[in-house]
Amino acid sequence: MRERLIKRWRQFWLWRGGYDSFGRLSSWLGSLGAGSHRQLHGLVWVAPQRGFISPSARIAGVDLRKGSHVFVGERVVIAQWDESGVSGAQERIRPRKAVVELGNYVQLNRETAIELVDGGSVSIGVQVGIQMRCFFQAAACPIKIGNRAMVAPYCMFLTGEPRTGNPRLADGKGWDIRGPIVVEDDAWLGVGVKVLGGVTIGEGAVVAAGSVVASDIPAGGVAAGNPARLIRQRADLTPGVGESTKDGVSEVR
Amino acid sequence: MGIALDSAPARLWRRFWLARGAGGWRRRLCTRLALLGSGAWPDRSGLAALSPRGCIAPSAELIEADLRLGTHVFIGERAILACWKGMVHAIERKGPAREEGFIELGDWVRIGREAVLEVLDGGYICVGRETLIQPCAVLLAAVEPILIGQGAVVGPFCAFFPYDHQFAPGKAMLDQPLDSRGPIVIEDGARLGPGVTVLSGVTIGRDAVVKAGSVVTRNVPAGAVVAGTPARIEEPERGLAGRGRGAL
Repeated sequence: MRERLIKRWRQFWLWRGGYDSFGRLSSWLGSLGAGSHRQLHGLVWVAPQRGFISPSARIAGVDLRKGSHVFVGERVVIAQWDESGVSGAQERIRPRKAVVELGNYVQLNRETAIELVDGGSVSIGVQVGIQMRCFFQAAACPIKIGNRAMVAPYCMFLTGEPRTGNPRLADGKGWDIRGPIVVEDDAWLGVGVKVLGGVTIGEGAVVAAGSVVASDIPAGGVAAGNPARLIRQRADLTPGVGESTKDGVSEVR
Repeated sequence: MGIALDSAPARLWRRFWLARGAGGWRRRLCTRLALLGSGAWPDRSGLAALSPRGCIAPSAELIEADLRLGTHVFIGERAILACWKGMVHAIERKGPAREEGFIELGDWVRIGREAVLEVLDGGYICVGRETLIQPCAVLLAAVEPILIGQGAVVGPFCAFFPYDHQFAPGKAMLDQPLDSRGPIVIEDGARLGPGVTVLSGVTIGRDAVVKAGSVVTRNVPAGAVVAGTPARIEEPERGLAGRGRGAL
């Protein structure tokens, strides 16, 4: 009886959940007593189309297009830089709303930040787990993460960098843009990987912990170091321990 | 406004409330009262001295944590200590069965704000006495344990991962089982700089120093200084009386 009441309660509120002020209140009511951190992952099944957006997440000034079963954890920030105030421009032009796409079953774990600057966009494919405290900064170019990629904690994706702390002093936009970032399907980024702009990480590539990726990594490559260098190909490996023989080299992409 | 924050009555008030928190909401309430008017980490960490129960910030999240605390332990704001069961589905167990799924903190351990100590299937975390874990460090013990000795220093934004995903060809990354080269062991008095990543099967020897931003993939001998990605030895042996624990 109690279980059913709790389920109804959660359903009622989480179907109304969102990231505007009413949605946040609903999410908060719906997640009362549900715990925190990984305990919340299960809530995406309560209202699959809505997913679960933690009430402490802050999403502002972006056009968020999300699939079903999307999880947005505590204190996640998705927001757009608005430099119209600081740049000393005569007219205050609100920037166009940047697009953030989250595919089905995406998990943005706690304290991840997605910042968009001046026409940047972020799109994340299905079943991608972004672990906690990752940082995306899409300045003027897109960041694209493929399906079923795995991104460990403290990863950073930076398409460019500001030239100076004071945009008024800089000529033009005040940003040095390096280019778009593409992480293709099924890639695995270890803890603390920094990916710089203009880089494509190929399908099924593995980037070791702490690497700084400044150049492309081919599909199935294993890269490590600062700057990241290709150390081998996954296809050259013998099948790992515990792999059945049918998962052998023949099926390599 | 009467009482200076470090005056005898204030200390008495803090000692009174810190000695009371038993657990759960009562602990949070009592600690909140005790911390009234105090600063933030690291200013607060001295408060753990006031009571053998130590001081666990009210905003710290202890999630299903099987905690074995020593005396005078300090846990900072928004730190996460969690023990999860049944989260890891495909691990390859090696060796005999052992006790797992707990976090043991020795006496006078200090854990910085927003540090994360998580135990998943197969792992546990033991931290020796007087060890300092600085803010935002992430210790994620799955498959194998993380063992930290006495008087060690773990820098801010360090990451300890005693497990790996396999990446043999022919299988999607998401379906790869976890494996590990062994536990992470940090021996007494070792010092890790900011942003150091330690991978599975690594032992960092007594009084070793790991410089900022290194990724430690192989064992570090006692007393050595290492740096880089992957970490290489810069000074093999500076003598145990060097900048290590003896000098602190």
